[in-house]
This record gives sequence, structure tokens and C-alpha cells, in this order.
Amino acid sequence: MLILDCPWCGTRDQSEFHCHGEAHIARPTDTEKMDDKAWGEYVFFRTNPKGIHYERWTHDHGCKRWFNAVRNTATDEFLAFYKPGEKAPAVGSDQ
Amino acid sequence: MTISTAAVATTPLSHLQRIAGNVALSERELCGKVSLRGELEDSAFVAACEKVLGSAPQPTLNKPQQLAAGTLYWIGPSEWLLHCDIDTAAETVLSLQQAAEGAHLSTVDVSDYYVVLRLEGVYAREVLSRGTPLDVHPRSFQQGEAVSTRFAKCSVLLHAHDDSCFDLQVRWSHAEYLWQFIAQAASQYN
Ligand SMILES: [Zn+2]
Repeated sequence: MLILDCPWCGTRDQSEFHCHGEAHIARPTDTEKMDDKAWGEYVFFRTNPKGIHYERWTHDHGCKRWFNAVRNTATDEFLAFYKPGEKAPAVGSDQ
Repeated sequence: MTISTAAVATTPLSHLQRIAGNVALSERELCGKVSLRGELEDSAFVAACEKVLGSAPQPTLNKPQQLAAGTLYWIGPSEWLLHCDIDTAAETVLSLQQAAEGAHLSTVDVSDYYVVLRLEGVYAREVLSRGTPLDVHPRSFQQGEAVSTRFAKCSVLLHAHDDSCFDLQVRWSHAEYLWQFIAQAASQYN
């Protein structure tokens, strides 16, 4: 069981949330020039690290808002929570 | 044959018997519910709310505001829900829309989207703890507080009126499921 800190609601149980995968994937702006390989990489390929992972979550049963979290995928420890639009914090081995 | 055009309020729980005892469960009479969205940095939004609701919404997490227009719940950043008299809901929406001229404001009458259950009794907190991951111990969930959380598989807005009286607002179509879950959890105390 994981415990998360929603940037608005505070500390809540994992079952109130949903994870939406890797964060900070910028949508390409030159889409008309992209080939299938570039599209494939944008749509399907993720870093999938063992360790520090920046990811997107929603607080489905609470404020229903999106936010970002930094989680260690090896230990399931959360290192930071921050609102959309905020700069991704440098944490752990990223520093 | 005459066809009545008068609106009739119905409930998804009309076929269920209210539960009495150490844990009591009932449905609250239909009240007006108005969703409200806007930014507190927008002075036109705040002015419209002050004019129609009697006071500006606050980012008061967990603490419902008692306004002239009714009870205002914080739902999320830039979102609130007003509980008011059912007869004033439509009028409140209209007044807000008119007062919002120029403001970025969204308001919808959602009175029939939700049902409110009332759970009462000395073991009410025990029953709550069967369904929600929220810490419902009085040290952390206090009298007068309201929190959006999960109960069983539903999203609920849980309001602690006092130590033994709680309201659970739930979506209409989830109401019977929530009722049956609570009824079963309550059965061991009654
Ligand atoms: Zn939240």
C-alpha cells in the first residue's frame, strides 16, 4: 500500500489515485514532418528506469486534479509531489 | 387523460427501508446542488460570488463555508459545490451567470446528479472505517469537516456534522450500491 501527498488535499491512500505513466513527455510540434518511427517513439516508447521515475497521477476520488510525482521504481518510495506546470524537482541520484 | 408537466422528484432508494438502531441509515431529503468553477485571482468571479452567494468562496480545504445561499464545499482548486434549498438552485445558477458578465465562471445545477445518505449513531465511525481509507478517527476527521474520498468503490463527499452524524454525498447511480454496502457493514451493530 502506498501513501501519496496530493498537492491540494494532503496525505491520502493510494486507492484514491490513479497513475498515468511517465511525466514531462512533450507533444511534438512538427507533427506533419514526423515519420512512423518518430511517432512510434513519441506514442509508445518510455524510459522505464529502475530507480527515479517522474510520473503523472490523478486524485480520482479526491480533488480529481492531475499532478506529478517522483517515485523510486525499485523501492516504491515517493521523493516529491508537485503541481502541473511546476519545474520538476531534482531528487536522489538525479542531483 | 391529463398529462402532468410538473417536475416530480424521485429517488433511487425509495424501495429501501431506512435503518434504525446503533447505526441508523436514511436518505436526506433532496436538496439543491450547484457546481461552481472559477479562479479566486479573477476579481470579477469573486464579485459575482459575493453578490449571489453572500460571500466569496475560500480555498478552505475540508471546512465547508456557511453562506447566505447555503453550504459551500471545497471540491478542488477553482471548484466548489453549493448545497442549497432545492427551490433556489435553478435561480442561483441563473443569478451567477448573469452576475458573471465578463468573468470566467462556470456553474451548473447538479441537484439530481447526487444523492445524500445520512449515517448516524454511536458506531457510525466504525461503519465508515469499513469503507473508506480516510482516517475517520476524531483526532483526524473532526466535527464540521467535509472531505472528498473513496467509500467502497464510490467517490463520496463525506461531511462530519458531529461525532455521530455523517452525510455521504454520492452519484445517483451509485446510491443503492453504497446503501447496501453500509447496510451490511451496519448490520453487526444493530
Ligand atoms: Zn487531491
